[in-house]
Amino acid sequence: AGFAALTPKTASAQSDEKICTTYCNACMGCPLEAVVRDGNVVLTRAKEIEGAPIDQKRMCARGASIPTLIVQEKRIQYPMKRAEGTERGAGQWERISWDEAIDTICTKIKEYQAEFGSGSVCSFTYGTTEPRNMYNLNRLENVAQFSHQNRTTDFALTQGTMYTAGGFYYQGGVDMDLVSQMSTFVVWGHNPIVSWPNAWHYIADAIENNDCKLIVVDPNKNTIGQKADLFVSLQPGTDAALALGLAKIIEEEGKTDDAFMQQKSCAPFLVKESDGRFLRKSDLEEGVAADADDFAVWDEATNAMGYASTAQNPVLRKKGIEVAGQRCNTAYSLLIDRISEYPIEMVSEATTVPEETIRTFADLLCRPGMADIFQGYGIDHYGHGFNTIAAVSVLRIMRGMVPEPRMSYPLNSSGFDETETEHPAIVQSLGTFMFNDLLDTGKYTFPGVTAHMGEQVMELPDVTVEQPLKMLISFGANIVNSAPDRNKTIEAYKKFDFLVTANIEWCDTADISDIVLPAATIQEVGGPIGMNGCLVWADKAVEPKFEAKSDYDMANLIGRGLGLDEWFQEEFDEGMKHVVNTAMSAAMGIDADKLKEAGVMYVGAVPMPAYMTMTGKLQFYQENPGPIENYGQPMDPASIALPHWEPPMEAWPVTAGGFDANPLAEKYPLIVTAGTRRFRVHSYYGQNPLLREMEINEPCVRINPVDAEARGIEDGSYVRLFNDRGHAVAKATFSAGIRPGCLDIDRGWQRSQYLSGCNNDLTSKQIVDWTCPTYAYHDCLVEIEPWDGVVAESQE
Amino acid sequence: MRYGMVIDLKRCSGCKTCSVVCKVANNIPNDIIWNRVLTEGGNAPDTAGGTWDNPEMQHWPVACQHCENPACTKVCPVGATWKDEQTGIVRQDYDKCIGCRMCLAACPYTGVRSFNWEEPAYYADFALGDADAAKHEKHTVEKCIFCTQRVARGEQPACVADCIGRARHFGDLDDPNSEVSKLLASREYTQLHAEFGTKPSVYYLV
Amino acid sequence: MNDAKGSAASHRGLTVGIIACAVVAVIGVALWMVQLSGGMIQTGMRNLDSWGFYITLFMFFVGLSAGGLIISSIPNAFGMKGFGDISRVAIWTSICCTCVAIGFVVVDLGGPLRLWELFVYSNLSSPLMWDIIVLSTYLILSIVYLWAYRREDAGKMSHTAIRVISIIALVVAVGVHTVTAWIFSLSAAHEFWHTALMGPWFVASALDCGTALVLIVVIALQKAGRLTIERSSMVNLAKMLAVFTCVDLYFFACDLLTSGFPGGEGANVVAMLVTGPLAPFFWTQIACMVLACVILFVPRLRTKGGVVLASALVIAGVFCKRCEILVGGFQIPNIEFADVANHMTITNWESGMSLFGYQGLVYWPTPLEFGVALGVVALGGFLLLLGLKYLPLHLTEKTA
Ligand SMILES: Nc1nc2c(c(=O)[nH]1)N[C@H]1C(S)=C(S)[C@@H](COP(=O)(O)OP(=O)(O)OC[C@H]3O[C@@H](n4cnc5c(=O)[nH]c(N)nc54)[C@H](O)[C@@H]3O)O[C@H]1N2
Ligand SMILES: Nc1nc2c(c(=O)[nH]1)N[C@H]1C(S)=C(S)[C@@H](COP(=O)(O)OP(=O)(O)OC[C@H]3O[C@@H](n4cnc5c(=O)[nH]c(N)nc54)[C@H](O)[C@@H]3O)O[C@H]1N2
Ligand code: SF4
Ligand code: SF4
Ligand code: SF4
Ligand code: SF4
Ligand code: SF4
Ligand SMILES: [Mo]
Repeated sequence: AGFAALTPKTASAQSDEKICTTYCNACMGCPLEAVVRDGNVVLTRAKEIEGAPIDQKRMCARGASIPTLIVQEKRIQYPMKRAEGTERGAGQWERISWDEAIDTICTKIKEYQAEFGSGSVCSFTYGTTEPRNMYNLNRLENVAQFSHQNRTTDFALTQGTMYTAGGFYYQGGVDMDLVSQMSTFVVWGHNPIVSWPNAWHYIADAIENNDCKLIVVDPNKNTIGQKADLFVSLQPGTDAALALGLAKIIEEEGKTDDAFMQQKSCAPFLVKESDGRFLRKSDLEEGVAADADDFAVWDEATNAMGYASTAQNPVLRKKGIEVAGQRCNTAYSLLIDRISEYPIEMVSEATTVPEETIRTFADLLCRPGMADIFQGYGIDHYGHGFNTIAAVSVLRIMRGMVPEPRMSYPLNSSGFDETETEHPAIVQSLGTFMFNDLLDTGKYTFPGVTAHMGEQVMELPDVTVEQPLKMLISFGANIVNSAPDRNKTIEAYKKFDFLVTANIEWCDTADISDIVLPAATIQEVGGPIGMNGCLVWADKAVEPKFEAKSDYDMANLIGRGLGLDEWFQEEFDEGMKHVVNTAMSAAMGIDADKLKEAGVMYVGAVPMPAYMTMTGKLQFYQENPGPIENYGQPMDPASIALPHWEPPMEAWPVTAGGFDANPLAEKYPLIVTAGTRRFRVHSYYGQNPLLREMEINEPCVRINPVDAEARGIEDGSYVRLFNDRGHAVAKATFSAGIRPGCLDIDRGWQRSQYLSGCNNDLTSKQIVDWTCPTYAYHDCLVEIEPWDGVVAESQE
Repeated sequence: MRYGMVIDLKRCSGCKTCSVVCKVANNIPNDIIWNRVLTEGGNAPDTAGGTWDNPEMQHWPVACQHCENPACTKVCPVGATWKDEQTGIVRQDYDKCIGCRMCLAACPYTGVRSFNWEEPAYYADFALGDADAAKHEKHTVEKCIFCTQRVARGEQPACVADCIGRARHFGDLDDPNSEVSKLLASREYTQLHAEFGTKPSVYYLV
Repeated sequence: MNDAKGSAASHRGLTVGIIACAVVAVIGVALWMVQLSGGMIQTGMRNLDSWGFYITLFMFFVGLSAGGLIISSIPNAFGMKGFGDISRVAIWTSICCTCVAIGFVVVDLGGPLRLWELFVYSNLSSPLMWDIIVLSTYLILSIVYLWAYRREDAGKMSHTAIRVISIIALVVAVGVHTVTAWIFSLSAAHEFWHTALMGPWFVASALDCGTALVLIVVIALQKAGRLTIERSSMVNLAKMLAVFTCVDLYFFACDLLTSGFPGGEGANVVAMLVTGPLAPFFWTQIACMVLACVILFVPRLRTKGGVVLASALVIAGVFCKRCEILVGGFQIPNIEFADVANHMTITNWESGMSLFGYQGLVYWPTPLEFGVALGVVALGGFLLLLGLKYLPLHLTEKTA
């Protein structure tokens, strides 16, 4: 062949090759093409996305490694059961038939449900959040009346952004078109270069074409930090103080976007002093229909009370307004009171960020042009994560950063066809942190809290949830590896009478199970997904390897085995149609057949009439928030009405900002976080040998040379991280980018890949904020020492 | 025509997607990486050098530089590595290579050439990548070949097509209207070890 | 004058030596087969230190052979007297060394079965090709040279012809060594190698270790009663050895100063040798060579034993230098940014971090390499002894 001029197109099929549409299910659902030869996926590549206004093509190293992921040694090949007479976790397995596996599982379910109630069988369906799996698993969970295990991870960011801005921006990925237009972009507690790899090129576009200033707020100068114009390192867990301090500067310098706040936020709403709630039309007038309700504001145009929807010039900064016998303040004036508690001197002292840097940061935030803040899980994974997210949202609202309300195109993974309105629903949601108690005593007690309702102080009593637990079925996820305080997790899991794990690869959770089921990969199943403005219908590219089955089929088999045949009639393709064929799709002229035909359809963001907050406006003020995940816990809504800063529950080794150091820090002075790693998504992809070549092939912990040298640790040597909960042995790698006093350990290596311990042996299950119970993975103290190579006795 | 690559260091995020797609597309044996993404900084990938006051880290994707004046081809006694004058691509004949490793010693870009020290091994029991990717052989030397098989079909090299940072560009350096030429005309760039006089066809935008 | 008994004993000794060498050589070949079938992964060489013991020994033996021939040719070429007896042994020694050197290239090749390509696809810009050409020329010439001596003995060749051949041989021998040096020095990629001095320096090394080898062989043969040589010739040789060694040291000093003085990369080379991972080799070399010079220059120490010791020290010193050159060339990478290392890229890759592979010596041979190398050397020994036994090397027969 001659050397023709190059075209940007890369798609071409050789003879005997088939090109299938597929996607990667690990994080962003990247639309891919799989080249199939002789029944094997031999290559994956990013699919061109036609019709997208911006370059949406994407695939990272993980997606590129799918061909070997499918055939990797660690794939679960057949249904397996723990060998008769061996201990859980002993590693002795026997191959069984699918019939035997499903039979055993269904018999057990029936027995436990008959004796201990339907909720005694619990299921976990968080494997991968795609409809391909979730649809039928949700269905099974509901119809069979299992209790539902919730992993209580990432809730702070979800809840924080939902409540303040009505949803994720950037993370869901529909807003990348905006990113490339930014003049100022802040990445706060996030490392998108690694965790949302394709987000980076939009940021790079902004930098290249818009002279965008990139600000990175992170204790450590990580991979995104290296690209920053302003890198702000702060004491971990002090972000809320920094955000509120910045807010104070912006307010004082008169740089707030008042018009934006007047129109789009709760800033002008009048808040009653009596109960802290917004004053509504329905408080003042009789017979206001719910959908016609409105919020009272003080209109400067008329110098009288008005309503949010009609007022010309609602006042933002006004206190002590008397309306209909109620003393009210504008929500914004309450925020001003709150941020006044964060003068720059105090913020600088608490965060260790120099005052000058804080001022530069504030100036950059107020640069002309578009700006926004990309918040991440680095600030989610703390005891007070929700508060921090909400505090950062304050800046977004004050500066008018939050884009027009929009959302990603939703697919229906509820488990039921939109027309199926009459169906059973899950009885109970259980947090993983409740398991130890539920398994020991059959009940879990939430600690009571003191609630402040306006002037009133109320003691909210303990709440006890009762639920004997006997059996757990985990579809996907690898909770033994990913949940904090692994030793406690294992202790709990071992107390289940019966554990079933369905996964595509052998993992820590499979290790301690009784039955392990081989799940099929996306390339072996196909199905729809909606991500980043794209709808994809993946082809079934290859036959499932070995005896793997789709999670969908497993749910069907279990459902039918339980005698629930009427609910489990539809085969995969049929079921998947309900995922795409919703009223919304119909309105947009999209249906399953069209999607299947097209492979990928670009749908972009779906505009919304209002922000999806409780009031439809951006809300830095929460009048009566409930948790997104309700386990029946007591809550103190007033404590999160306005964001504030409190130090982390554990990772507070300093005395600053008016808070004493955690005495535990005398023993364990270092803060360990586990940022995302390039070549694994948590544990997923972590056993793919092709990717193992790309990194140091064992768990590493990055450490500042100063901290290492003080402990006689050499670069590249083994070290032991430890605290009262456990330990982890990892290879110390020096990085001057790690903040002294901090450590950054790998996340997601299986226990079997460690020499001893595991990173989540160190973390804690403790939850401090009952409004938003979320795991505080980064909120963790340890000490570190050279490792002498002796396996400690705490290691089983 | 002289094919060349332009890599924008400001856009490179060090993600190694290029390394992996290169391995898959060319069915490269285990533990051989043609296109490495190196970290300038600490001693391990993704670590920073310097001190905490000013930590420094930069990623450098490095594969064969397809030198205009290659050190490797001159020393190869049998012409198993040779420069295709028509395209400027420095190519590699596995079935000709006698495994003397003259080229390994001669190439100034430490590590871009790999010798198959043993029978090539693979993670899959079927060939990955392009059907027409050359077969690898024990005791022969290999390296980035600018995806000759793809370029011959008018396609972009795998690493360029799938670069997540949109940092890699490929084209004819002799054509002033090509994207690569335009980038070089408009941006500051550097080359790896220009002092060796190898005249690399890989340029790094800084 | 040696009695028949002594001669018979030495003959028996030779036979035993020949058999021993043959056995070791066969074992070596078997190990080579192991290397070829199991892969060169079994050696200590890796991508970033892609030559090792074999090429070190290749350099070393090329040096020995070229040196031997130069030594035997100089007297002829310049009409010096009293070396005639040495010449034949020296030529044979150098033929054997050349074979050993070629053997090392062959065992280092990944595809020895493709050797024929060298002749079919010869790329004349490759210094390896040049080396192959001069080595073959050299080998052929040596054989011709030896044959010429034989003819001369039979009175069928004039001494002038021998002189002409010896001059050609001299040029080719210098050439062999220079070209071998070019294999390294023409590679700009390795700071340590890339020096114009490498050629002359290799010649100097060839001369000193070639002379040393000839001295050892001659003294040994004399001891065994297979050769007599005038004391004055030996003293001359010894003095030459001392001078050559000094020149070698002088070149090294010049090179180190030129490298180190401006600072930069060159200074790293000096540091690597003087205080770094190669320091043991460097200082052993210096110590050996200086000590040898002392022995050779001080007449009182210049006894037979002393000369043998000095010669051995020089050879050891030059061997150390070969190691320094080879490993040293790889020791400093041009691109030293971090990446993951694996068992293909770096010999000591255990840390997984490539820069750590560079702590300590990048390369150290494996037992297999020692075994194969021993085999190749034994092959040379086999040839040498066989020659001594059966070839008319003009030893005792003539002087008897
Ligand atoms: N490669 C890869 N990508 C992934 C994942 C993966 O495992 N691997 N997981 C996916 C999932 S489920 C999630 S939730 C996301 C998570 O991805 P990210 O949102 O990027 O979160 P992390 O990597 O946990 O933390 C980001 C940064 O927060 C910093 N940080 C730690 N403590 C603090 C603090 O107190 N303040 C501030 N400002 N920063 C802090 C850390 O140093 C780290 O650099 O990634 C997703 N993408
Ligand atoms: N120390 C520490 N721990 C953390 C975090 C941290 O920051 N620090 N971050 C936490 C966060 S943000 C999260 S989201 C969690 C993630 O925790 P997990 O979700 O438990 O982690 P993964 O390893 O991603 O598990 C996904 C599993 O799904 C399997 N899988 C993939 N596809 C399928 C399929 O189609 N079917 C089935 N049945 N299985 C499939 C994969 O093989 C893999 O085992 O980890 C948390 N753990
Ligand atoms: S891991 Fe995430 S970013 Fe990478 S290909 Fe898969 S979905 Fe895309
Ligand atoms: S794929 Fe692109 S961004 Fe990623 S490492 Fe390679 S060159 Fe850099
Ligand atoms: S980079 Fe090295 S291997 Fe590639 S052409 Fe240049 S000299 Fe040859
Ligand atoms: S190893 Fe192969 S390609 Fe390299 S110089 Fe020798 S024959 Fe040529
Ligand atoms: S051009 Fe092709 S062979 Fe070269 S690095 Fe890129 S993908 Fe690999
Ligand atoms: Mo997450």
